[in-house]
Amino acid sequence: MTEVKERINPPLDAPDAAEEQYRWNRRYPELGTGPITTDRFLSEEHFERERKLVFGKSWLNIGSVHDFSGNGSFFVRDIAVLDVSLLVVQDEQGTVRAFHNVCSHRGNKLVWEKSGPCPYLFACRFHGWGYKQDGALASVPDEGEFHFGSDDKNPGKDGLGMVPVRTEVWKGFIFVNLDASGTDSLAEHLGPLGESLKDFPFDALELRHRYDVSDEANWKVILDAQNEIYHLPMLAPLHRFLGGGAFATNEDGYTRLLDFERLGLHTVFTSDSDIEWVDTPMRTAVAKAHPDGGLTTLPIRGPFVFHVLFPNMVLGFLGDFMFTYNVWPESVDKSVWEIRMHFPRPDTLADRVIHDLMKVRFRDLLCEDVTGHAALQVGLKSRARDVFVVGDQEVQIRSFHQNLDEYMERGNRG
Amino acid sequence: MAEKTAQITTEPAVALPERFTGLVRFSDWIVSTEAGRIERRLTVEMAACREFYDAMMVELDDIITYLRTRPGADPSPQDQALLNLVFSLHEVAQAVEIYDQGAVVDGADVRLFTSVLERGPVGGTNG
Amino acid sequence: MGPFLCTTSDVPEGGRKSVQPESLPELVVCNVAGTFYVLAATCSHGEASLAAGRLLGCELECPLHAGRFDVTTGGATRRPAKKPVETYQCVEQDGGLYLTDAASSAASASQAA
Repeated sequence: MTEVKERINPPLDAPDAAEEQYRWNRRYPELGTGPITTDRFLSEEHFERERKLVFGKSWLNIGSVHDFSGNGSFFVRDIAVLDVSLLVVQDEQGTVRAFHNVCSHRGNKLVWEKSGPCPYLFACRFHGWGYKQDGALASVPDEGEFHFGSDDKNPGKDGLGMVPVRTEVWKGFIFVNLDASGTDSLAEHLGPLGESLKDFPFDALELRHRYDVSDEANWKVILDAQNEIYHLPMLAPLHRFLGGGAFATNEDGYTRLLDFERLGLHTVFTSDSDIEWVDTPMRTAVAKAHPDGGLTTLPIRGPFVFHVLFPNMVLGFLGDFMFTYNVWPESVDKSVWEIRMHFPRPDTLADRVIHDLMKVRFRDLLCEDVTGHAALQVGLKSRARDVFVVGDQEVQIRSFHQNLDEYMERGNRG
Repeated sequence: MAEKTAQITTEPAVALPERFTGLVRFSDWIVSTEAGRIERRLTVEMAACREFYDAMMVELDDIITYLRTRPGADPSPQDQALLNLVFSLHEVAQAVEIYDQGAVVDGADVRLFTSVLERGPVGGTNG
Repeated sequence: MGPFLCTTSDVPEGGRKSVQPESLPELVVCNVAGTFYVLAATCSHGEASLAAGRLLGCELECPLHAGRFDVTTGGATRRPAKKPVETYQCVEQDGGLYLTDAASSAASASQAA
């Protein structure tokens, strides 16, 4: 922790530069200014293409090493959009591997528990076949009755381990790729985004809260709604309140992106804070809990930073607080919004007070958003309009959809 | 709303650090889970929430000063009780300062947002 | 003394009222605990009359985007409103409420602008 205690990003002043009209279109003219189609949030056919060409081919974040209870533990990750269940294991040496959570005998779902320490063997409930942490088949009851390796059609016992899934870990975040024939590495997938965060001290943060929220909306509706701050001063009471603080607005009260960058398939935007803004009595009192007043001590690009990791992950920072989202489609109009909150290890118990207040406010903010997501889906579903428009301060959305289209186009060709 | 208070789980009384024993009158607000604190925020009458808020805001400077002297890990049961009391204040402050009611105005049921890490083993199972 | 606004009984405690003196912009009169405050009625953010909004304590809320203004100062207290709205001095006489002369000329100037 000591190396990050020095405050690197003091609050910046008003976003003077941000007043240039169409600033982001000038930076990224290739994104155009056209509308976005409604159909992509509604059509089963579009959803099928996403299933096959995006979720079936891309690296996907399925959690982090915080989800293990230590070396020699596991968790099960079901991915509804791909109809797969994965068994994710951190072995005694700390190596992380993911397998299809399927017994090689008759195809039973192998492990039914959600998480826990690794058992002596992962034993199938059906007939008791047992697998080691590295996936190898170790035990077959009544083994002599099987025809292992008897001819070309019968694999030997060593060919009947759990089926591995391509797995890589970046900065503690676990990614899998279900395209067994794919060859791109996670580093290639992350590209300039991975590069930009390569020195970030993720070790300084620990997972404190996780919310798995059922959301009645297409997964992209949720991502888009989160991936802009134009709505902040308007949507609901807490948005309006905080919209003035963590998010600087221009003289007219409109948010302005401090910066926006396309990083390969991914994007990042930042927002400044408003130094003149007066917080609630509660937050003002709690600010005294830390010598820095709870201001940023982590090396982030701005007071609020929001990365979208293609296709469905968000990695964000608000001061010393890090949040991740994983938006998992269940069907074309239903998703699970998985939210994780991470904080630095508390120096004193007063730090836990700062962290808890941040959690409560951020959680209520997202609670306001959930209603917004569902309302968006209802409106889109009416098909009152074939397309809708986005402004220059929503350039992130434009970029995401263009990346998605191009990714599917490449997948179709490849 | 009164009939709903039956849903609130009463927890066994936990002592506060000695210098804060005056706050023992708010011991119903010493709740160890996020789900429990949310439930109180949603079901206790606003007048009682305001009374708790007003009284706690007066004490908060002292509480923070005290907590700054306590190491961040492994709190004593008394210190944990004090933290849980302040965490309840955070919930109530949302009601008093922002919403003028317990529930999130123009939002979903905040009960949807209780950390799954409080509910025992967690997997990656969607939904 | 400037133009007549309304009678004090028109605006009970906790109430607000739209008034439109001749050749002046629309104004809103608010009664906070027996004290009267006069503000320019048009929100500094969106095109809406604050006279149609709620008076919450000493804050007047815009009916369009729910920005709020402190009626005692005109300052914006809740986003999305950020710029203040003009406030004007008023005087009470024989149950009537009037702008002061200075307030009246300020309001005309703002109307002209």
